[in-house]
Amino acid sequence: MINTENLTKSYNDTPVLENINLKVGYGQGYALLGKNGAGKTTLINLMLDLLLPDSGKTQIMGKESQALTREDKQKLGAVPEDMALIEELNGYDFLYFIGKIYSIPKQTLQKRIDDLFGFFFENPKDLKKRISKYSSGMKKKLAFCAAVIHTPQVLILDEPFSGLDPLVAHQMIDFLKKYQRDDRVIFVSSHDLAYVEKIATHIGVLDQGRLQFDSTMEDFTHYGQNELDAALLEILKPSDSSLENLDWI
Amino acid sequence: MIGRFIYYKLRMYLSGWRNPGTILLHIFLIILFGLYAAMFGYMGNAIYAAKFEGMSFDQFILSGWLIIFGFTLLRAIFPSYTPHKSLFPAYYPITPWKRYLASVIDGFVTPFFFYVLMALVVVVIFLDHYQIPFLLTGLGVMISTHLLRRSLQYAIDYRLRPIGYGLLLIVVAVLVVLGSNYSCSTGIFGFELLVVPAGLLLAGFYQEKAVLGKQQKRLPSFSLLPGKNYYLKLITNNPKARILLPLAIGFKGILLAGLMGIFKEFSPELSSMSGEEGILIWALATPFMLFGYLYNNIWAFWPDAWRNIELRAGGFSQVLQLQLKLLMIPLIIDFIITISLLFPFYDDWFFVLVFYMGFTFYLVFASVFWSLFTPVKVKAAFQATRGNCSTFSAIVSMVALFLLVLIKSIGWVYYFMPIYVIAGGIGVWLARDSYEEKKYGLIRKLKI
Repeated sequence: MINTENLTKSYNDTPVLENINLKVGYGQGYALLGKNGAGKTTLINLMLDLLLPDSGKTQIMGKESQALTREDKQKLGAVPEDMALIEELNGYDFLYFIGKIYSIPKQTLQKRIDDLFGFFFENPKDLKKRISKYSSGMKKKLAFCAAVIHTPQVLILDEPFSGLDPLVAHQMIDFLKKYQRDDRVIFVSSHDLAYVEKIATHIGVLDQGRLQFDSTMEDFTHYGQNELDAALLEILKPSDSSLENLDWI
Repeated sequence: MIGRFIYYKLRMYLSGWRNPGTILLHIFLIILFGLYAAMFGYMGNAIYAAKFEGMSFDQFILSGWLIIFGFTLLRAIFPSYTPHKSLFPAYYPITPWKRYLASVIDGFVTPFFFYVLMALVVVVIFLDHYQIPFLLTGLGVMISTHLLRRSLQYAIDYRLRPIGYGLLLIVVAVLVVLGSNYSCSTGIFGFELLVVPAGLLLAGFYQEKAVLGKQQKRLPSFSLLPGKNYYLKLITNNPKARILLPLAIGFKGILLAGLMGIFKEFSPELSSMSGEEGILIWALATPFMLFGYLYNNIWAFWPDAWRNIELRAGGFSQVLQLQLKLLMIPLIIDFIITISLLFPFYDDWFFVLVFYMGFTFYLVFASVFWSLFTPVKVKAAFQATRGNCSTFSAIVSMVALFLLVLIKSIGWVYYFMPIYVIAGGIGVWLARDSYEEKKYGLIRKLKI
C-alpha cells in the first residue's frame, strides 16, 4: 500500500505540495487528478524516491521510499513522467534488460515479452527497432510493459494514457482491469477522465499544493449523479475571468 | 545502371557526413588506419632486413592477408550477426544478374572496405619490397572473403535447393585446397587472383537462384559476445560515447605508437624508457584519456541506464556493477592496444602489468566517486568550453598521473602503487557511503 504523511515539497521557496496525507490500500485503483502544474508528478517522484521531500514521509508497502531494498523494488512497478526508457537499446533488449534487473527467469521473461508485445504492438518488427526511433505512443506502451513485466504489487503510473491512440488506451484499460486484484494497488495520475473512470475506485484531487479531495469514486460523483468532469470542475473551481473579455479573438 | 547505383550509394553515404563529430571521427579513423598500415610497412622492412628473429618475411606478409581475411569474415558476426539485406523487392523490374550484382556491390560500398583499401595502399607506400603482389593479393583476399561470407550467409539466412548447399561445399573445398597450397608461400598469385573471386561471384549468383521462399524470419541470434550485448549496444548506440571513445582510444594509440617510433629511432635509452621521453610514454600508457573524456562523468552519458537501475533495483552495488560493465569493453580494447605496443619494446612485462593495472584500478574507482560527486550535464560530444567532466576531477586525475610518472622515473612504482590502489578504494567507499544522499543531486544536475 501507499501512504504519505504531511508530505511537503517546494522548489526555490515556491511550495508545490503542502502537508499531503494520502492512504491507498490494497485492492484500490487510485486516480490522482489535477490541473497542469498541480504537483501530481512531484508527488509521484517523491513516492518513487526520485526526489527528496522537504518534510513528511512516503511509505510504500509499509517502508519509507528511501529505505526500499532491491527486494522491495521488485514489488513496485512504475512509469515515471519521462518514461525512463533506454533509447540506445531496441524494444526487445530493453524489456530483457529490465527483466534481468527484476531477476525474472529466462523462459518466463521470454513468454512475458512475447505476450506483452503481442498484446500492445501490432508489428513484431517493432521489437527490434531502436527505442529512439519509436513514436511517443510506442514509447508509452513500452514503458508500461516494463512497469508490469514483473507483476508488481504496487503499480504507479504517471499520465499513462497521454499520447496514446484510443485503441491502445482501451487496451491499456482492459489490461489494468484484469490486473486489478485484492492484493495489488494501482495508482494513476491522469487528465483523461474517460479512461480514469473505468479503473478508479478512489479519486484524489490535487490543487494549489493541497489534496482537495480524497475519497471513493462514489463520493466523488455523488453516487453517479454527477459526471466525472463536472465533479472535478466543482472541486477545482475554474477562474471567473470571462471569455467575453477576450474581445480580440 | 550499376554505375549510377554506386554513385547514389556513395552520395547517400557522404550526405551522412554533415555532423562535424562524424566527420572528425572518420578523419580520425583514416589517420588511425593509415598509421597502423604505415607501422606494418615499417615492420615488414625490418623483418626483410632480418632485424627481427622468429618470423620470416613470407610469414609476415601472409599474416597481413590473414588479418584482412579474418576481419572481413568476422564483420558478419561482430558484434552480432548481420543477415543478408534484400536490396530490391522481388517485383522490381530488374534482371536477376543485376539484382545480384547490386547486392554484392552494396556490400562493398561501406566504410570498412574503404579503410581496408586505404590501409593496403599505405602499406604499399611504406613497404620497400613485394609491394604490388601484396596489394593485388590483398585485394583478391578482401573481395574473395566478402564473397565467401555471402555464400555462407545464403545457407544460414535462407532455405536453398540442394544445388545451393552443393555450391557452398564446392566453394569451401576449393578454398581449403588453395589455402593449404599457399599457406607456406607468398609466391605471386597469378590466375587465382581473377579465377577465385570470379568463381565465388558466380557461385553466389547460382546460390541466390537456388533460394526457396522468403528470408527466414527466425534468424540465428548468434553473436561473438555472450549475452544480449546490452553494454556494447549502450556504447555503440550512444551518440556521444561512440564518438568520444574511439577518439580517446585512437588518439592514445597514435600518440603512443608515434612517440615510441620516434624515440626508438633517436633515443638509445628507449629500452629502459627512463629518460624524459619515457615520462611521456608512461603517461600515455595508462587509460587516462578514457576517464578524462568520459568516464569521470559516466552518468551524464548514460543517464537513462542509471535511472532504470536506480528506479527498479536501487542501491549502490547495482549502480557500481552497471558502471563496471560499461567500462569493461573500452578498457579491454585499451589494454590490448597498450600491451601490444609496449611489450615488443619493453622487457619487464611484470612491471608493465603492475603499472597499467594499478593505475587503471585507481582511475576506475576514482571515476565512481567523481561521477557521483561532480556530475556535469553533457549536451554534445564536444563541449568546447566546459569539457565533458568536471574541471576538478580532471585536475586531480592529471596530478595523480603526473605524480605516478615522476615516481616511475625514480623507480619507486612498486612502493607507491598500493597508495593508488588504496586511494581508489577510498573513492568507492566514499561514493557508497554518500550514494543515497548524492543521487538526488545527480538527478537534479543532469536534469533527468
